[in-house]
Amino acid sequence: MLFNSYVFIAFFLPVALAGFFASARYGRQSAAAWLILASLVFYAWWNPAFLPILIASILINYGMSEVVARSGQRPALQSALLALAVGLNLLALFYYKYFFEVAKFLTEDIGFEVHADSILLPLGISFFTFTQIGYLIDVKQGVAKERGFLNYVLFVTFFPHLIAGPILHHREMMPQFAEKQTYRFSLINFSVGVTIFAMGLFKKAVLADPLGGDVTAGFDAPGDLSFYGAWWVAVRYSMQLYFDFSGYSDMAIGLACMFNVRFPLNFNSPFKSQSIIEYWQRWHMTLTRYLNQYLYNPMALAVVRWRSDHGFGTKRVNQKTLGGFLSMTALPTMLTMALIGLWHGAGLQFLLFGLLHGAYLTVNHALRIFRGTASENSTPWVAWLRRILNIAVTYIAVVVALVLFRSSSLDNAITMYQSMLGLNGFVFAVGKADIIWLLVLAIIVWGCPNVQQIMGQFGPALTKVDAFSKRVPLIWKANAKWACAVGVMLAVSLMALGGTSEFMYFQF
Amino acid sequence: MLVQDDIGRSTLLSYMATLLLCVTVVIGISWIYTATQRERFLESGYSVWNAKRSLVSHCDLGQVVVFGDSRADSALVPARLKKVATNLAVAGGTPIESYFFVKSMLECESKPTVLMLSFNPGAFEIIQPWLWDNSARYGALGWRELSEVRREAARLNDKSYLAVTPKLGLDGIVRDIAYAYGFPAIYFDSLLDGRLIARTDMNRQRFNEVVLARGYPSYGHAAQQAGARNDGEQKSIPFAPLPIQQSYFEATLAMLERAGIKTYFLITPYNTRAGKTHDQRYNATYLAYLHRVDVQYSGFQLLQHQQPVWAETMFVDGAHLSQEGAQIFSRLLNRCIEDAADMADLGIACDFNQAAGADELITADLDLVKK
Repeated sequence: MLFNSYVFIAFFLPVALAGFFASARYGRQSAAAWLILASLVFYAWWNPAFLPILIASILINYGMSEVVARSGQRPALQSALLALAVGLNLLALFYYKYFFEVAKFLTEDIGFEVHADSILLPLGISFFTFTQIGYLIDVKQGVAKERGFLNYVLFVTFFPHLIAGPILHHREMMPQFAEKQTYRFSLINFSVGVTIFAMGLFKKAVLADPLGGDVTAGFDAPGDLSFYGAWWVAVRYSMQLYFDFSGYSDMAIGLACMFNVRFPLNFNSPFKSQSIIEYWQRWHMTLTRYLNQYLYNPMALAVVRWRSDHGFGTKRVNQKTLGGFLSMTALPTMLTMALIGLWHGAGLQFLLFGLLHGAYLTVNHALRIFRGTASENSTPWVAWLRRILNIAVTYIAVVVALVLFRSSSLDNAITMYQSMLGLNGFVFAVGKADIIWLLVLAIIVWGCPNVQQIMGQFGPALTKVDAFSKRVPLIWKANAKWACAVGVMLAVSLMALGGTSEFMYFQF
Repeated sequence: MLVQDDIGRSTLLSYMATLLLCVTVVIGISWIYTATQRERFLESGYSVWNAKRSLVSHCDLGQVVVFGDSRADSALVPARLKKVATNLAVAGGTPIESYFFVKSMLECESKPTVLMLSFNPGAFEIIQPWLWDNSARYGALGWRELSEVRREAARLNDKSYLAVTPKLGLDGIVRDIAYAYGFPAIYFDSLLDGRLIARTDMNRQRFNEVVLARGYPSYGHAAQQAGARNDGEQKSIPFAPLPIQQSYFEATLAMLERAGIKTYFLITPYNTRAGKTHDQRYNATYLAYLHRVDVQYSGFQLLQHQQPVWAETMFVDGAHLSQEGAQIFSRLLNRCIEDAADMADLGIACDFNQAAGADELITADLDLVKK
């Protein structure tokens, strides 16, 4: 089921909410059971055949986590059990997400025949698999204290995050499900939740979706695009993805809020970033956090240990040597980003997308480490100009990489790059209205506070964001002006839902 | 859980009530606007439909009337016929839409002498989302008509009707309610594309053009490469009409027979490339179906025994005749009608590929077009 569908808004959500708070009168367990049931219905709506996969994944992972927890006295066995559990998860992920593509590659490109039928990707498999792997690792490390079965199932299946994230950490979720307050209806949480949901829906239905037509046409035939046409399509796509993902993230936070639950922030105006390092701290924040915690940090730590064991320095000064930088920063960065690329899909273009961002980050780290930060003595004008330039360069780098992310194949991406380099001419054929609309979107992206800043005083997400400029009076209040503004947004969004389209991150 | 939760309950309640009120007011205003001002923002297809509905509601029909799908819509130029004719075929038309059009037409005092039905085979095999996205959205079919179709589908146990998902993304009875009562969401894209009011002049001009052309909306000039698009055609082999489409097709024939109007089935030309993609068994079963109906209804007759296949240069795309192609097709049809001693018995004189002289006429007209 999609958050932006009539069946969800008009039927599922009211029933799920009413059932949750009504059943809470009979105890927390019945409310949690109701919410799990609702979440399973939500998941099964699109294709009921995937439901057994989700249930099996939950049962196996919970079972394994308990076995891992109880074998704490025998560390070697515990490690082996954890490896087995993580391996099973990765195997399932590989089978559903990559096996067909790999078999195709081996058969068609290498000549090594592997028979594989096309496999339908179970919705949200990457998200619920990652969530549970994180839990398994934390159980092994002894940091998962709350291990009740019902809370665990609710933590994995809670429908606002089930299909496209955010990737949750049990430490921030399970205690919330254990709290009494969560099960009592709160008008303030409901009002804040509805407001955030409406803003997210507006971003998705009104701002993101209408951009899709030209983007699809452009990426389907990149060879037909001129220099301007190709950049136009690439920029439009960046805006479409931005508002799509931002809208989804707001809707997820808003929905969770209605159920008295707070999610971690997943999206924090990434196009305002002044560097690629900052960009990844603002874009798909929970994925970055997850990979940092479970991949980058262990990898970096392993390199540091290796260097230490082999007599190489591991201090900050050693990081400024070429060998130190390459081994302690560049290597884990490139590997992590390659995996982020592959996490998004099995195609070569996704791997290159990850590697390109890995290269961006490596250069960014190199500048930071070897050149140091810019002088703080510069005049406000120079600092402002530098800031604008940094944002522009970061945005352009992101747009260039997104071509790989959006293209259906590497060949298409290459053709798109050729068009963006002007190899197919320089004809400019964009309507005035389209340009004005894109400018409006640009003002929203770079000139307005984001939803978390607007609603920040109520702390609807677990992560705090920096306050926006006080010169822009856009702080939400429960008054008539805001009610009308949000009401208009909600009404327009509801009317824009015709031809509902999926969220772009659903495919991952 | 919230940082600041000191807002009073009454403040929050009035916030939520105002929000709800605003949603209702905005949707309400939009509903009134989209119900009353469609020509201001809807695409030109609306004017074409509206022009045809206007011809029916004014009972301005003439002696020969054509109902059918977009192929027929693009093919018949009434001005090329010596008899007064009207083209009431519509884009996405199937026997269901024709049934309701014919029903309205029969309420007129002056009825046509001859009626021609023309559908591509696919129109019998599926229910197009256009039934809602065109017919209902343009106001041609309302709640009464959609309910009737739904009941008939239920009677025939034809589940295809309820399963169709038009652009709004809904199916079943909720879809019918949304379209029949014009829920503004079904117009949202057009409101945006038409910038609320920007299509008024274009729609008025198109409406007048189509009324003046007695229902013929030109599909434009021939394309360089017509392609082999076969929208809505050949969905299964052998040809397998849906019970619901069959039912409405035959109900239309029965209605016309009762009214004493002679009805012909007209097969419009396919282009050579599309023709090549057609399966012989499929064509044979399709024609066999039409022959069976021909035998069943004495007032109904097939006008051709073959599907005409024309050069790609006569089409704007894989399916629709260009302005030039339509002129030729209409002249051939006119000759067929003029050659027959009796309009009520055109026989097989209208075999557009085989009839003596047809090739010459096409060649001559092609020369004319080139000049």
